[in-house]
Amino acid sequence: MKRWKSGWFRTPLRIVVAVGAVVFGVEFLFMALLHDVIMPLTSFTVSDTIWSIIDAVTLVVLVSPVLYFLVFVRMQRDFAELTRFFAELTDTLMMGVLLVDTDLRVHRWNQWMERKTGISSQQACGKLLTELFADFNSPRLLSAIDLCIKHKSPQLISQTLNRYVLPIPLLSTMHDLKLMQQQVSVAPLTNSRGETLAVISINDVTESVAKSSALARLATKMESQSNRDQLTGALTGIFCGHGWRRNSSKACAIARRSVA
Amino acid sequence: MELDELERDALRELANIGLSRAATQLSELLNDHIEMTVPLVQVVPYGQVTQALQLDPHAMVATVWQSFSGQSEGTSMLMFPSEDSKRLVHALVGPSMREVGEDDLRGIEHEAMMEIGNIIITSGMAVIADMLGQEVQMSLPGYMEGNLPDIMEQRNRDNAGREMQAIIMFTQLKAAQREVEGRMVMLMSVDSVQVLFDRLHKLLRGL
Repeated sequence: MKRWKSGWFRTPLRIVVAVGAVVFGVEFLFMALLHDVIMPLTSFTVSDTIWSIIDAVTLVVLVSPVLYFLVFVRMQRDFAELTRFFAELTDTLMMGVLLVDTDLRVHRWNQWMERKTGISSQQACGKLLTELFADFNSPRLLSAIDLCIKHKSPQLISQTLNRYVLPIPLLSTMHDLKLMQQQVSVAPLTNSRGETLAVISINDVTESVAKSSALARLATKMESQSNRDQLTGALTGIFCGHGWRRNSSKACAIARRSVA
Repeated sequence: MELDELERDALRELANIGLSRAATQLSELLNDHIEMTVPLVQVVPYGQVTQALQLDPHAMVATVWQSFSGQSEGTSMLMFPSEDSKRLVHALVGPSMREVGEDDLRGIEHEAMMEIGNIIITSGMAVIADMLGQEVQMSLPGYMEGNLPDIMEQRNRDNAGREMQAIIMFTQLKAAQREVEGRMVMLMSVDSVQVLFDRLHKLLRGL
C-alpha cells in the first residue's frame, strides 16, 4: 500500500491534482453544509463579498491544476526532447563521450564507446567504471573527476603523460600497441537537479602515436644505415670514430660491471 | 590596490597550500618528487604587469591559461621561460620523447605543459576559492608561446576597456633535480580583485 502511494505521488503534477481535489472537496462540503444546513437552521447569513471570495478560491483551485498541467507537461516534453537531442548529438561524435558522477557511476555512454569497448549503453549505464574495466587504474582520472565536479574545473589528460586512462583493448593488430592511446578531457555538467556530473571525452590517438614511433624507428634505422658501408657493414667516415667511442664505452661499462 | 603585510602573507599562504596540492598530484602523475612554493605575491595595475613579472620582454615565454568566472572573473596564467619549460618537460617525460621524431616534439611539449599547467592552475584556484568561500567556474586550458608583451596583449583583448589588475605569484618548481622559476598571474578586473580581497579580509577577521 505504502509502495503504491509513494509511486502515485512521485510526480509534482499528481501531488497538485491530489491537493486540488482535496481542497475542492472540502470546500464543496463546507459550502453545502453552510448553504443547506447551517443557514436554514440559523439566522446566519453570508454576505455577497464572502460568496465572491469563496467563488474566487473555487476558481483558483479548479484552474491552477489545469494551468500547471499545461505548463508542466510542456516543460517535461521539452526536457525529454532536449535529453533525446543531447543523446543523439553525442552519438554523432567521432569520439568517446561518457557521463559519470563522483562515485564513477556511468550516466551516459555514447555509440563510439559502444563500438570501441564492445559494451552497450544499457550494460554501461548505472554501472561503475571499475565494474566495467577490471584493470581500471588511473589516479589521474580520479583526481580530474574530483577537481571537475567539486571545483567546476575542466581537466586535460594528455597522452604524453598518461598514455591512456581507460584500458580499452585495440581491435586492430596493425602495430605493437595493445591498448588504445587516449587524449582525454573532463568537463563539468550540472543537471536539472543541481547535481554536477563529469563529461569525459576521449580521443583515440593510437594511430598518430603508432605513426610517430614508426617514423622515429625508421629515422634511427636510416641514420645507422647511412653511417655504415653497405658491403662490409663497417662504420664509415667520422661515424667510425663516434661508433668506436660508443662501442668502446659500452664495452668498458660491461667490463667494469663484470669486475665489480 | 595596496595590500598590507598580513593580507599579502595570507594570500601567499593560500597560494602555497594550493600549489603544494598541485605538487602532490604532479608527483603522483610523473613519478618524481616535485615541490612547489610561492615565495612572493604582488598586486599590480595592468600597466605594470610586464615590468613586475621580471621576465625578459624579448624572450619566449610558455603560458598556460584558463579563464574563470563566478563571483570573481578573470584569467589565470602560468608562465615559464620557454627554454626552462622545455628542459623541464624533457626531464620529466624524457623516456617517451626519445622515440619521437623532431616534428612531434613540439606537440608533445605543448600537450605536457598544458596538462601540468592545468593541474597547477586548477589546484591553486581551487584552494583560493575554497578558503575564500567563492564559487568559481573555469574554462578549458589554452597554451600560448610568445614574448611577454604579445601574450599580455592577447589575453587583455577580452577585457574590452575594463580597468584590470594582476595578482602575481612568483613560483619555484623543483622537479627532476631542477629548479624552474615560474609566475602564476591572476588577471582580473578591479571590481573582481575587490571582491576577492573583501573575502580575504573577512577570512582574516574570522581568524
